[in-house]
Amino acid sequence: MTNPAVDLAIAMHRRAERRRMVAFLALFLLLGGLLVLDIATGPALLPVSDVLATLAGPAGADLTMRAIVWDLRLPMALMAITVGVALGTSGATMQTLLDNPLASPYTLGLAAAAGFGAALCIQNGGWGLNPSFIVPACAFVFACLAAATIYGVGNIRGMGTDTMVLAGIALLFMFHSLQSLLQFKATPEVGQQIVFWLFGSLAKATWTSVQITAVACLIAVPLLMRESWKMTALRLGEQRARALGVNIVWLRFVTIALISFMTATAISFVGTIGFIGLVAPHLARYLVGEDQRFLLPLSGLVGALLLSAASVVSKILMPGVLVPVGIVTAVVGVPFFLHLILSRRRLAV
Amino acid sequence: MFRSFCRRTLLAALTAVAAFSLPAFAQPIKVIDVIGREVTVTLPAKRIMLGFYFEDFLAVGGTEAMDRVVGISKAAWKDWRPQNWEVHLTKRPSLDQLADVGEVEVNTFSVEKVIALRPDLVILGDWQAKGIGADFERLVKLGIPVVVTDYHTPDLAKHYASTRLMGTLLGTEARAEAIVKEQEDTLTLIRDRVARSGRAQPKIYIELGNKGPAEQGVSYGDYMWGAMANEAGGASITRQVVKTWAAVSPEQVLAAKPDVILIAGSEWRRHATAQLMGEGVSADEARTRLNGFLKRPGWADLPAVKEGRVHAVYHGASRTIPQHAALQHVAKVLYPDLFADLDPEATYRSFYRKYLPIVPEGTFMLNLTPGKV
Repeated sequence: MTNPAVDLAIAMHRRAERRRMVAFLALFLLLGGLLVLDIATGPALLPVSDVLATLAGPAGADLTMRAIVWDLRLPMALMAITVGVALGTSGATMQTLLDNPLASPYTLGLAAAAGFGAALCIQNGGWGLNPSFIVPACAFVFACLAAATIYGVGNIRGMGTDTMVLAGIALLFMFHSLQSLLQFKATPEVGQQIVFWLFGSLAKATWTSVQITAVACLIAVPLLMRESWKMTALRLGEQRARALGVNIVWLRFVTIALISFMTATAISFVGTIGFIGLVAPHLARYLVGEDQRFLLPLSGLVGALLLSAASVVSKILMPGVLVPVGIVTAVVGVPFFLHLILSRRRLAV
Repeated sequence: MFRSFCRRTLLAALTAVAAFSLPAFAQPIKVIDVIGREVTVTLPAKRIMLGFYFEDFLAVGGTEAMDRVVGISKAAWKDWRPQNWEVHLTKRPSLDQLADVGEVEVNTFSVEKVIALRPDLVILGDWQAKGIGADFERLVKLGIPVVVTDYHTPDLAKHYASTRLMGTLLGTEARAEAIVKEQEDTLTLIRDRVARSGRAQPKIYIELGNKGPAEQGVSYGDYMWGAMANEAGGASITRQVVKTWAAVSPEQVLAAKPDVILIAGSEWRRHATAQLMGEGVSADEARTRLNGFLKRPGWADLPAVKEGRVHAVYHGASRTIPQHAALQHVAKVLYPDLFADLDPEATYRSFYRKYLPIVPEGTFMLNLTPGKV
């Protein structure tokens, strides 16, 4: 006994899903192109053919080329992708979870907390430990502390989403002030290092940091995807989600833990890169709507695209100079974003 | 006269011998840089990346040494000391064509560019080595010899070590030794005379005049000018409150009642009231600017102002080898009668004449009252 109306609805839904898959594939190919472009450009302005040859056959290339392409540019380019995925997915989850379009790892103070952790560590000379390990570790710990605080405050006040957003914004201001205090107290050389860290730069990427960030994403994203049905239900409103049998307190706990772990890992290596986590979900939503099964991975993909593109722009804006990517993402991205908001064009497929 | 001629000839001969005999020693040697790292370098280095202390490099290595430089941190020379850069450019226009690896403090330094230059020796200032963080290790891991020099530190032993290190690296040990001796002799003379006089230390206030009278510029703790004040037997009034450098509040200066005031100036022509000193600056315009500082609230009653003991000094004469001329100036403003025989500006110029391709023209050490020191 088939109902033609239901059949039609299902058929249309399947078609929408197919179109979303096509959008996915197209963006994926675009990302591949950007990756190559990202590796081909750089401050040393090497001939693109030499770079590609080194990329294709590292064994035959000379040491200098190999060092530049394989040890500097490739980790940076891959870092742009992994960090983009982490920030984009986390931003989308936060916006869904807190039912607030302004939520992102940056606006909720996670990045500021990470920055404070890093600054505190740099200020204290890393307590004698290897800075390439202890600085990210400190940043990671503080970002997690910030997330736990937001969650804790929300928990006390009965998990009100507005309370959590306000707590996040309060943390953002507090950690910014603490950062400034450390910078104010620091000697000029140390202050310089703190400023660099806060700038947000992919140039800090190494193979180790890329691997760690990638592993964090590979753990967190699939686990978040498992919750995507429940999050889609949450988009219908808390009451309805509860009626559908979703344990909201548990869902919030699990997802916040996952995204904190993932973003804290990402920003602890690259510093403060704003904007991606806020905007990638919005762009993804323009493309696929609220179905979290598509929105989450697509937000990650768009995040990777944005950060890769920003990385390329940061290198060709002033040829021979590497502009910190954290500056580029906002300066180039915001006008584009405003245009999208103002035109209110829905690109949903 | 004859003796100095002999010495210079001898030096030239030694330098020539060193230069000719270099290829014979084309083998790796081990050096210790100023932060205590052991670095293996194959000499003579033919592709040098020079991060900072450009004039010091030239002074120790001679103009020929610059032929072996393939890249510099251009902004640290061209943007920081534009007049000095222009004068050097007239002697060596090719400086402008050297590869630029970017500048550490404005975050444009690119380790990729350094590597792409394929340097066989990288010389960085200590502040750069610290500032580039993990990139330093990247260069080291690639087997590129990186040595660190430092003329900013208050520890003069490290200045001498930097000079000797560059002498070793550039094959001009004798020249480096002569330079160090001149600096050491200056310091010894000043210390001895101050100690023998047994006088109470005059209180001195030193400020960087880059912000003009309207705003308080930075003062120094045991660092740069502050360190020089210590060496020359002065009691810096900011020593207790400032660690390296920082601006103190105006009332602290008034309360401390300094006996001597020293304003450090440079070619800051874009600023309408900053202390002008240095290349192409006339004594008159420097004095006009210095007078501006005296109009600060309460300054007219300070002992230093009442007794006319207000001075200016060229900021570019610090954190560099001819700093010993600046040290003479600091000593002389603190104890004018003890050091009446010293002529710091002449010392400064003679250093350039002896060791550098250019001779500075302008005002480098100044008293507010014309004709008085």
